Amino acid sequence: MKKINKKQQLSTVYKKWENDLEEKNTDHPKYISSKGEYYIDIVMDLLRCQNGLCAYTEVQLCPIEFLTDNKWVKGRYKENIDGKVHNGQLEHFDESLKWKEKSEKTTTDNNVIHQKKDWLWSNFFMVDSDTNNRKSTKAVDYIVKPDLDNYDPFILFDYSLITHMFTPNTDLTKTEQNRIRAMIEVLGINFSNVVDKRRQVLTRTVNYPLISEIQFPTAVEFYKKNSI
Amino acid sequence: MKVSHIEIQSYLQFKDFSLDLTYPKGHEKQGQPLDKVCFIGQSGTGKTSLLNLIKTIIIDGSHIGKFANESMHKVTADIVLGNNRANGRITIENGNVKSEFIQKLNKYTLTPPKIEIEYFQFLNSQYQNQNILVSFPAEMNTNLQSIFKPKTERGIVVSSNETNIPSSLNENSLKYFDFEQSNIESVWNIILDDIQKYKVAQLGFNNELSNRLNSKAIEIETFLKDFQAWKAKNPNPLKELADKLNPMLNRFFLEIKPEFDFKTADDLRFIQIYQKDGNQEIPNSGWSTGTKQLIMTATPLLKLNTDKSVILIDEPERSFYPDIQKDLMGFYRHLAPKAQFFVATHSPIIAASFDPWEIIELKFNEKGNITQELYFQGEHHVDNYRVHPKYLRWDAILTQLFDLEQDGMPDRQTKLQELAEMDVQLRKMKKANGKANQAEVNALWKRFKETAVLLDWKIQDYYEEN
Repeated sequence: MKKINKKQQLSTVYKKWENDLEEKNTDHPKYISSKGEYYIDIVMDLLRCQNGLCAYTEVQLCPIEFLTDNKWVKGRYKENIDGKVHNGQLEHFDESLKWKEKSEKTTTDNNVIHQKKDWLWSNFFMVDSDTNNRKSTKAVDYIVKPDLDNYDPFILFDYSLITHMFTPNTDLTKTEQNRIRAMIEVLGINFSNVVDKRRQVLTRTVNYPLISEIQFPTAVEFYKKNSI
Repeated sequence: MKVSHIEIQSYLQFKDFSLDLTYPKGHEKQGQPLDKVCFIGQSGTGKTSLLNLIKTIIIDGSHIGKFANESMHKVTADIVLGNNRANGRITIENGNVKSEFIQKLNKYTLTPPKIEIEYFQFLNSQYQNQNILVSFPAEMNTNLQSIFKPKTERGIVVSSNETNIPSSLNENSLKYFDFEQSNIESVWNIILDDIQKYKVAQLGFNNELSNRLNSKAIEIETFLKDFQAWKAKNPNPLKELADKLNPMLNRFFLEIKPEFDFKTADDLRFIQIYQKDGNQEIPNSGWSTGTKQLIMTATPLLKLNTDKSVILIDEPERSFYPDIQKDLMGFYRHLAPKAQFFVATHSPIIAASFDPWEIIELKFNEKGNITQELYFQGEHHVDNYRVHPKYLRWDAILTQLFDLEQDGMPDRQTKLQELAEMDVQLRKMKKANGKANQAEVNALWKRFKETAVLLDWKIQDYYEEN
């Protein structure tokens, strides 16, 4: 799970709108799927920041030709696109930051006070649809939030080259390892279909090092570190 | 008839949903309707609803009129009739059905020539003595006792001219066979008509022969010659049934015998099954659910003329062990090679019989509506498909097509995670260049190997001993 830099936003119109809401401490409009005015801007800007990859699993969601800076004019994404340019879904890392009517509360929400920050840039990632559906409203631990300044996958994780699964770094404390292990499960990083794809990419990397791979950069980096 | 496109504006959980049921570019049948289609998707995504919709489209679009209702706010289906000679469009709007040509009858002329023909009349002309649809529901009635009522209630042999045959089965109308409907007994009597007649004729011959035992030798010889001549003109339908069904039945250690062995009146009614390579008959009441399922789907597909039929099978995997499921679609296609098949399945093994362009995976989107997950990116071309179930392991089909996030139970995932962590630890110990405690290394290596065996993980591919 690569570190993601979301600080250089091109979706500046949305950014101003969101900043205004935050500065005035105003509740955000309720997030209803793709209905938001800035939805496309947010999605395409996140995909650009994530190099077209799922923020958690690093599978490719979008061809990079849709993510170049020249697609943006005056802070808006101007390319005419339909849903087929990417396979991802807009994900709220921390679901408790979203509106939640009392009637919508589920048993997993016990004692969680929901805020009304549905359009917070810092809480958004683009992720693989299946991963998003499975993560759903599960609680998260910010220890592995990939856009935080102190996030470093090479400190938090290790990588098993035979199973192609990520593990907590065994140099960390047991408590930290448990927290990371739980988040590996929540974020779907070791789901079998993801592991299968990762194994294929790593196999190509080992056997055909001249082929550059876009997907799974963290696993490739772990492989390179361990093969030296 | 083959269905090539379906557009649904609104029907149950489907909203603005369209299906392209044609072969992709780069395929030798590019643009033609698919020969077989497989619906997969979570429970509740509407697989059976789509089968029912296709049934409605075909039956009601052929002016038999039976199923359309107001839940179908607007549904349009394009159909193709033999060799693209005439294409039609069937529209159901608020329960009303309209069938029309979308491509005029260019080279095709009826006798006498009549261009302004109604579409359903054209269908009728195309389907003389043909069957338009064969539909097997998931919960098929395989209770033979309820299908074949006691013989005192009805005659043994039923012809298609009998008055209690539903109008849909009369010779001059379009024909459909729906094994969900209450006319199931008549349907089976039609399917088995020739076999029953043949059995009765053979029984009559046996009786006649015994009556003539005291006749002159030349009379008996003449009678036998006549019967041989009749047999030459009337091939034994049981032989074809045995030839086609036995390869699959043999795998249940069962077979159909071409010879007719009459013991009771029930033997005239239905098919007799024997132990393979033995003479022990298995009575209907002793058939396994798999045997019943096989006989009651394969027999209609063989006996009915399906050259222009659409065949619907809901949950074809029912009651079949995986080794049978693996060969089932090939078996059915062999019995009805020209028909268009639509199946709805939960079985990864059944799904593996299909090319990726033949699989329609239904999913809920963020709004709770149904969408189709596409297996290709960019142009609809065979080269752009990223998933090919025929090439995948069974577990990979489950994770890649059926969207199971893991390749086993949660306990397996826990053990796999342990294995991964032990692998990392062992690697770190190796990097420590002899500084690691050897006893700890040995203990970890032992536990690693035991875990690998539990997980069926072939560690020799990764590690040399010691």
